[in-house]
Amino acid sequence: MRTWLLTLRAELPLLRDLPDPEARPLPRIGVVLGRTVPGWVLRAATSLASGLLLLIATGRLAMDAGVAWTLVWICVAVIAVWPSPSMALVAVVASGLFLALDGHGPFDPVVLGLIPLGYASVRLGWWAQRVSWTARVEWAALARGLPRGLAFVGGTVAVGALVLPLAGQPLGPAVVAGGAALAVLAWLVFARRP
Amino acid sequence: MPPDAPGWRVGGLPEAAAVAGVVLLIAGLALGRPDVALLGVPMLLATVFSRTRPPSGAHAVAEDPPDPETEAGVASTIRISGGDLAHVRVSAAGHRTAEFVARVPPDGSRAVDLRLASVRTGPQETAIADVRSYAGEWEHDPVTVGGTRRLVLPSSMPLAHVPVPRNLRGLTGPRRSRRFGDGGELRDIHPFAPGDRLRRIDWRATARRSPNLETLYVRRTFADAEAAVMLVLDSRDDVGTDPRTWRHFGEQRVDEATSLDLARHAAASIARALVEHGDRVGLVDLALDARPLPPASGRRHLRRILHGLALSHPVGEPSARLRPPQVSADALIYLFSTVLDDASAQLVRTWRGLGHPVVVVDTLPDVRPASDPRLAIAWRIVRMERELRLDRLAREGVPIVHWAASGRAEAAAGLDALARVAARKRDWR
Repeated sequence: MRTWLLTLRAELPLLRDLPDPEARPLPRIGVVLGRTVPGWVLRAATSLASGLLLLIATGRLAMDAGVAWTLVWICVAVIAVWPSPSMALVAVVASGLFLALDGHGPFDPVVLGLIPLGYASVRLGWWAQRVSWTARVEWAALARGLPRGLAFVGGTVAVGALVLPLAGQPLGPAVVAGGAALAVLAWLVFARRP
Repeated sequence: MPPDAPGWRVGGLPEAAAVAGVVLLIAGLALGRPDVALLGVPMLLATVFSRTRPPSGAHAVAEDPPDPETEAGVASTIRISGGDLAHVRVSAAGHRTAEFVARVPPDGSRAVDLRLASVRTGPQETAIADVRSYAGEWEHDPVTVGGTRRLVLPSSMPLAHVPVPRNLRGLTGPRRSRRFGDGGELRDIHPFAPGDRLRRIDWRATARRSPNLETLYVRRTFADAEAAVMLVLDSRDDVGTDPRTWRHFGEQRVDEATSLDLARHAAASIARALVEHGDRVGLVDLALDARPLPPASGRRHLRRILHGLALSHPVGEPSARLRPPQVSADALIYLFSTVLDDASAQLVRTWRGLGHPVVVVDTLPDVRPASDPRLAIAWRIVRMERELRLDRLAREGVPIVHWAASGRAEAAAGLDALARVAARKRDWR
């Protein structure tokens, strides 16, 4: 033990001679890409989108402003540090539950704005989880799923706009159809698992 | 639905999105709030869409077959096919890791060019790329490519004139020797003597000088010849700009040339200038005990020299040679050295004693000042010893050309001036 300590004492001054990698940054590797977006932009965008989603949803609820802002900031901070689609999905589900508890039923028209916002926050969360702060993402790569996403969101918003005038009326067959659709979706998603 | 190609699996998003969508649907149905149910519908639709459409194309990631030898630095191309996105993380020794996501065209492949910032020559490795492909919500297992070894040949700088020995060799070549013989340049008109060839008789001069043909006159010409030059590479050490790395402590920066890179560049520049002029060039590596590359001319030989330069490297600790490597008679010697020890100066004196003219090319890079006071003192001592060595050599008449970054611009002019002096002075060596 004493020898070890003596060796350590002798070696410690040598640590001053270690090359300081922070003195000058290492050179970059040249990569030829198209127009790109840095990874931190995606991370910031998913945090802001999720925060905005929660802010709008809590705004519809008669919630204390301090509590609402605390929730929003926690959401933004957590997603900024650990970005993931799951966190964004939690924000979407929480927003939906806040909407369900508000007094603007049976169909709150603000959901027509929340649908694209929620979808965008989940997609951006997917990107932010996979790329680092300094990564570069091609615009073409970002735009890859855009038409499909626009179709899903646009279709949903269109259905919402159609349902809006019918909301509040007794629609037994619609509920049955909804239940059947749910069963089909569950089968498609889970029963045909590869 | 399972994918057609192996290696693909569903990412984590679809299941989480399906759960969130189902929760919102159930909440909406239970509470009679269609707006809440609609909030999760896009996620559910995306999940169903992605799970029912697995990727079908073949997935392949490969590095394009590289040119094993190059003078253009370390560059490579990776080609990705299959999927619609490629998430690539590129790493290389001495570089910051790069990460990017590129679009892969459907039913096609995407080629991504990677170029390292390294200015080093010799054996190098290409960048290593870890590629993960995505097709919708499907992910492919990561694939690693790259890390191929390549030999980066030293580049060269155009040099107009370089010193050559006064004593030329051979019976053919691009230069004019001082003796007379077969050649193109007229030396004089001389009376015919035994040994002169009949076809050298100049009948006009004979008719003018000896109308009665009592004496025949011949045209004598300077003989053609070629110069022989030996490049001696002192590759016993390879030091960079940071003195902290001189004892293999820490890593040298790849974007700064080391002494060996400078020596390779200088030797390649001089070799190219000489070979393009038609002279003969040989190569000796002081770090190796192998036989020197004998002087020869031609582009294939130049390639051989560049190859030898690129493969030179220090072997163990720098050691003094017991005797200098043998070089061709009458050859001019270019010594590429950092002159950090006495061995190189001793070699110069021995060669000069044997009658060889020697040009020393100083290849020590511009050393950055050391922040550590002990290191600063050590470097000061080494620098003063080196300057003393160089001053002594200069006083003895040895031409010294500096090839470091700060002296590179003057190197070509210095060699040009030296070549003129060498051609003019009879006893230059």
